[in-house]
Amino acid sequence: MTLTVTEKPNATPVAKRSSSKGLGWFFWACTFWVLAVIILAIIAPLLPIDNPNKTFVCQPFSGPSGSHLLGCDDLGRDILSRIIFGSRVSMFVGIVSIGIGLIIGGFLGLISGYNNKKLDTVMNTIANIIISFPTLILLLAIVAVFNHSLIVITLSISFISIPLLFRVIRSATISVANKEFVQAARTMGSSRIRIVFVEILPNITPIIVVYGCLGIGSAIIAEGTLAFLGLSVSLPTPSWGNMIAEGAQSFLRRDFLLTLWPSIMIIMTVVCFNFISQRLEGKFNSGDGAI
Amino acid sequence: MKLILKKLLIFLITAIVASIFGFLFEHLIPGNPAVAILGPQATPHNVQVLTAKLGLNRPLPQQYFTWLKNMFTGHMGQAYSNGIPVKTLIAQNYAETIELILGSQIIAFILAIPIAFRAALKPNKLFDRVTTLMSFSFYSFPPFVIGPILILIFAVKLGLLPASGYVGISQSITQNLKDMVLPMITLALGSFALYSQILRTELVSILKQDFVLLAKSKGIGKYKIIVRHGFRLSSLSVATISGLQIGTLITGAFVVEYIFQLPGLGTLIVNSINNKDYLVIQAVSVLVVIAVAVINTAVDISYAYLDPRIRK
Repeated sequence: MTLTVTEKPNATPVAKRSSSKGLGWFFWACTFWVLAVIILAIIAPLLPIDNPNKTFVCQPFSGPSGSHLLGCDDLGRDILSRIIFGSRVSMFVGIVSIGIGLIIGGFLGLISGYNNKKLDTVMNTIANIIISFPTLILLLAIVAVFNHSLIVITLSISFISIPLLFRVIRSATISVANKEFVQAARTMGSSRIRIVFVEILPNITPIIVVYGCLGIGSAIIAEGTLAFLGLSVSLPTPSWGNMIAEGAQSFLRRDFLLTLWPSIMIIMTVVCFNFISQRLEGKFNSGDGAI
Repeated sequence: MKLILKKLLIFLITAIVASIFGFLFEHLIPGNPAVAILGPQATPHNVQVLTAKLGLNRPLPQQYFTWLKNMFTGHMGQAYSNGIPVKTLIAQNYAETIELILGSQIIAFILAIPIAFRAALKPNKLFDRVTTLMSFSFYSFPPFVIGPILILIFAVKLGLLPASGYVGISQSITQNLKDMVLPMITLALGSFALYSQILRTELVSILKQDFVLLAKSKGIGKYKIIVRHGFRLSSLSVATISGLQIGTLITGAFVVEYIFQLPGLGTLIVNSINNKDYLVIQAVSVLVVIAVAVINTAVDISYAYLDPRIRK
């Protein structure tokens, strides 16, 4: 588990080939899935489902049925309801932490990429040093010093994402900064701030979107790992990671469905975010005008 | 030469930053370490005595250098929870983690090399597409999802391998391997996905080059070409990637140990966080960060040494 914003396998030839023919049905299916999960997470309290923490709403370990679509866990809690409420943790951590990471990392990246060399060298060295620390070790150390509340976990994941997103946006800024239209703006006497935010920023938005999606997938896995280790939001609040851990403990006794459902959710959501990112990258790379 | 010096400088800075963070870690924790060691019933006098004994009332820079000296000489203190020296705890647990990582890498390469060869011979054909899709999915699956699924299939349903438990390699090699196979596979799948894709991409581009055409025109078989020319060139980049991946691997191993309840550094650090055993967390974290930095630097330098294009 890591925030592998920069270390992903190269775009597959499959994606490159079909990028000229639109985004493909799988892209739209993924987008639909991600939006559905986000919307369900937001409106979870309004849905006609049981309280996720209420025990014995049904027979423990009873399988899927009409009133409990995904069945019940070891304490007789409704699994569907726990999955939906669990998505709130994953989605909150994923989107908010990467949002903060993009705002801070992106701002620093833009400044560093379009500025004097000394500042750039210093900031890049700092980023490289932070990146050289293994992600989970940093997360564990932060969690050990503070606590494992939702806010601490979100902020610590955003802290780790900052240098990674900084590097991506910095290099994108450098490549745009050397293009003709930026030089034209410079010769026309535009201010530095105007060049960075009006000329460069709109042109690196595709990169921000691509790496933002990839980052959200990684952040969801990071939170899931902590939750699996029992170091995310405390029980009984459901999160996909702690549901997998709880389910894994009851394997030998009864029911593998307990661990299967949250695993499917986490895999589908992360694969969808990665796929959306990869497909958009292919699209932006093949289109003209993009970087 | 300049590059090597630059890498060494970066390593030095990283090590210093890591040690400062590691040192400050103890001071960031809410409360006085002396109270943590003595427990809630400590009298103020005892706390004062221990504070002075631990040197906690001296200026920070002085404390830092004492701490650094202690780290180097292995005086890392004792675990609060059971009084065992931190050094002993690490010595008891590191072997399993290293075995897990090495084993997973062997499995990853054994799987990745033939699959990448087969895929690279006919790029974009069915086999290539299926394995690419497979790698892409494995790469997205975190170990804490793969682990329970493997336990379910191989331990619970088929009953072939144990779901947890660990016998030291010195006691029984066969039992040890039996215990370690599932954890190793869990850790290997991510690396396998990465290596097979990199190897495939490298091989495809190498097979397009002129010297391969020349070899072909000489009548050398394609398998021989791929082994003689392709592998030699592409193995370098895969070796580099595997070295640079060491941070991800170590932390991945930590999670895998927790899944399979193996007595390694990962289980040690997670238990220490739950017990608030800060000295153990501190020692393991600093050790891992330094180990990762050493390996990354070594890989960078040896890569530069092996590939003269970079050395210039």
